[in-house]
Amino acid sequence: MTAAAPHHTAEKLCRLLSDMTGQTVSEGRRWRIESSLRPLLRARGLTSLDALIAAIERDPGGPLAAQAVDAMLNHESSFFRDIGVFRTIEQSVLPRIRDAAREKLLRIWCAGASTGQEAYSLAMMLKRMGPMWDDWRISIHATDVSPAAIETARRGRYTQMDMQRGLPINELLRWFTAVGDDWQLSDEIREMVSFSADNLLDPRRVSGLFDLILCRNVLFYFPEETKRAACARLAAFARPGTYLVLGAGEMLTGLGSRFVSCRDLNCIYIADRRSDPTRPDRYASETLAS
Amino acid sequence: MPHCLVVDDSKVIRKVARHILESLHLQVDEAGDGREALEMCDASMPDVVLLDWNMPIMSGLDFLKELSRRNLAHPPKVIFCTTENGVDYIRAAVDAGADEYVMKPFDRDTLESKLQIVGVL
Ligand SMILES: C[S@@+](CC[C@H](N)C(=O)[O-])C[C@H]1O[C@@H](n2cnc3c(N)ncnc32)[C@H](O)[C@@H]1O
Repeated sequence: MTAAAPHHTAEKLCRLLSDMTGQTVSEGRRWRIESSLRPLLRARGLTSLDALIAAIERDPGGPLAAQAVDAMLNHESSFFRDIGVFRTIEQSVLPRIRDAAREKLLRIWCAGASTGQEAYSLAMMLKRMGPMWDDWRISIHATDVSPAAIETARRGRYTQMDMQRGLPINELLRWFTAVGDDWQLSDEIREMVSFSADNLLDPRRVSGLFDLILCRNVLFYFPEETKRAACARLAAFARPGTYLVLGAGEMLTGLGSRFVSCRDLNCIYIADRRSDPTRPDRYASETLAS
Repeated sequence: MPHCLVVDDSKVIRKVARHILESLHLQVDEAGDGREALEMCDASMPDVVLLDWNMPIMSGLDFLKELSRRNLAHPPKVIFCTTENGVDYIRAAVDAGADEYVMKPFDRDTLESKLQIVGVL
């Protein structure tokens, strides 16, 4: 096998990825396709990327296509990733939501949640915040386009390496038990989070309005028009005053989004009045831009 | 620039840790055991100590006990560094005063996240 996939082969795989997730692979990163798919080729006894494509084409909606897409996605995540942002959520965003709430219901959506660390970090944080949420109903819904990532997330079992990256020692002692070389998250935290395998561009199992939406390190891999469509989708689940958290370095400038930057809070945006979901044209006006 | 003391009897581990910590813009000193580390702390208190657990002469645990006896107004943050991941083991270190822990072998992302958690970065 050559180190880099031939152009037309890489092209086909990129198109598959883009069709299923909206994500694009820049020219500079195409060389990674081959190495990311190598384990799948080996597991399926396929000798080349062309053989993989042929097998996918024989069964277009089948599991192999999903597995190939999954292998090409970047699922990197960690507990309390960019801890400064989590501190901002804890110290500023959640208290503001709480102060402005009309009922004691907190709804959070993690879009592009990967293997669950982000959603579980929020759950642990809410527990740590203690009595202020005691009589609240809290729901955290986490979605990812990758069913495999969602499966891992649901299970709540992490390797030592996953734990090291960002999980404070007190949270480890409070919520995890060692199982062999791995660590199992307690049911108490797992039960605070619901999961569904959903594409952000067409989130079928997501419903209602959220007070806080996290979509971190996901938009980054979308081309401009897909970013625009994704923002419109997020806005459809926001009421005026809903907070949106993006990844470090991700920005909405120029996307015509209804979220405006919170000047005093890094990476945090807030839905403005125009995103009022009571408007009848809410969803219709936000068809996928292409 | 935050100041980190790396305490480990392995020269290789100290070298790896120094390399990573310097790339994170920390000023780094090294000690080969707990006794030497205490002397260095008395001379100039670091902001954070990356502390090995099993060392000859004075162990990480004994170092922590000695340090807490000094009743410092601003004690350094302590990240203990071990090859074992048993919960009891980790709990013992926390009880002795460690702020965070890291497993060997560690990488840059891991150390960076630990330094952020203890507020040094
Ligand atoms: C780099 S990870 C970020 C995970 C987490 N948000 C964080 O910041 O740690 C990006 C995740 O977005 C997911 N993703 C990519 N395209 C998506 C789409 N169209 N809809 C939903 N999730 C998507 C990927 O599967 C991947 O798990």
